[in-house]
Amino acid sequence: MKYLNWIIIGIVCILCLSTCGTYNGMVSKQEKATKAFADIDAACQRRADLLPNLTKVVKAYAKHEKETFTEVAAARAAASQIKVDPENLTPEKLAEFQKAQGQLSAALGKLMVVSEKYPDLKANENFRDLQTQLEGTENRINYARQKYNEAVQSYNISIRTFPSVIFANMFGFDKMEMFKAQAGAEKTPDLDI
Amino acid sequence: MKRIINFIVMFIIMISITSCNHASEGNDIWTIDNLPMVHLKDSTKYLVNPEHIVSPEAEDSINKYLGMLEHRNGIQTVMVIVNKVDRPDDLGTFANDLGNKYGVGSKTTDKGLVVVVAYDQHKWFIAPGKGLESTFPDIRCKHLGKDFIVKHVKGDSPNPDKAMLSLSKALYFESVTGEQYVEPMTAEELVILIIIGIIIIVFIIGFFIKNDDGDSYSILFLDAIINSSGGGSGGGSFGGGSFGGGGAGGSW
Repeated sequence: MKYLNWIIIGIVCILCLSTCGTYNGMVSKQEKATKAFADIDAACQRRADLLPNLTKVVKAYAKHEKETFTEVAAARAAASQIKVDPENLTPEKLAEFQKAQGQLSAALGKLMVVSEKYPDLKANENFRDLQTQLEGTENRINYARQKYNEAVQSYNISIRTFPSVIFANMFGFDKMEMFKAQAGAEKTPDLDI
Repeated sequence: MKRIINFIVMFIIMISITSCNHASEGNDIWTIDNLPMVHLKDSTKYLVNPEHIVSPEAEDSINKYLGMLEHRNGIQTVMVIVNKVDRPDDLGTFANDLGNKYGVGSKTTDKGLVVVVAYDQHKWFIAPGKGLESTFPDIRCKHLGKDFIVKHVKGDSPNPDKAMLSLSKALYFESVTGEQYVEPMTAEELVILIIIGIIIIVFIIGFFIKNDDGDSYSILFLDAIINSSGGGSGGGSFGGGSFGGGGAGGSW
């Protein structure tokens, strides 16, 4: 009887430790995914901050492209309005964020196409520097998205596998949403620098 | 028992041979997983040069500069030069993944720097760690790549030794002084410059020396050239096409 008590205490201790380990593991993976999203947000903000300067330089050479400038300004405003809390990321909110950023990318693409028509603009040192910064920012966004998806995948696997699934349901760890490739996203924008 | 031992020995030998073959095949195209990280074996080495594209002499000098860069400025660098990588069209991700995989740079400062040159594929990428983005912003990385890598590997007589060595010097110089590094002139460039200088001086002197009709010799000389060439425009500018130019972000 005395031994049985010890065995029960031992099993309870092991279960507690295992629960703590699993819980901490899930928290750590969720945090990693949240941080990865914050990196995407920061990179998108960096892109939005670049836009006024870029538009200003393009405007100096291509005054007649008013429609494109309006489109860029509208897309930037729409993207800035969407504030996403990575802690409470719903599929709808993520889709909204992705859509706004996609529209901004499309508007930027148009701005770059416009620049192709103006050789003087293409030769402008300031414009070329901004293009390089933009290219770097696009790379950062893509890289951050990739890392976010990897982190979310790892987290989702951990909360859906046994025995973690039990604790995930118990402590309310929900599945996180991943970024999906948008139509046309497979085509890398060609920034001829 | 003896049979079993023989079987195990044969099995181990077979496995070893197979894995050796795989390694040599894998060397044709490098991934972040099969690149030999020489720094992990020898802390004085920073250049990953498994195919010996860079000569041993240049490799020593590069390692010295990159060593100084780490000890004086805390910037840990991994410089890779190989013929082919598995993701040439996404070399940026390759370089960043390499840096993240091995944790290049100190964890507290994030001052890591990864340079990848895919020599046969004509691609390059310079990836600074998060703590180095203000020291080496994207524009500076672009210029460093163009001015030091592309300049020396493009054209009929590519010189990877010079490309990697001058880049190492530039990284060291710029991180120490905060100013842009300008490569010293080669003897050949110096000779050309001296010849041009002499021609200009002679031309200026000739401008002031006049013949009996009052025409300066320089003007007469120019007239002779213009008339002999049928009135066409003068020659082009000096070597504009040889530097930089073309090649979008990271290729040559």
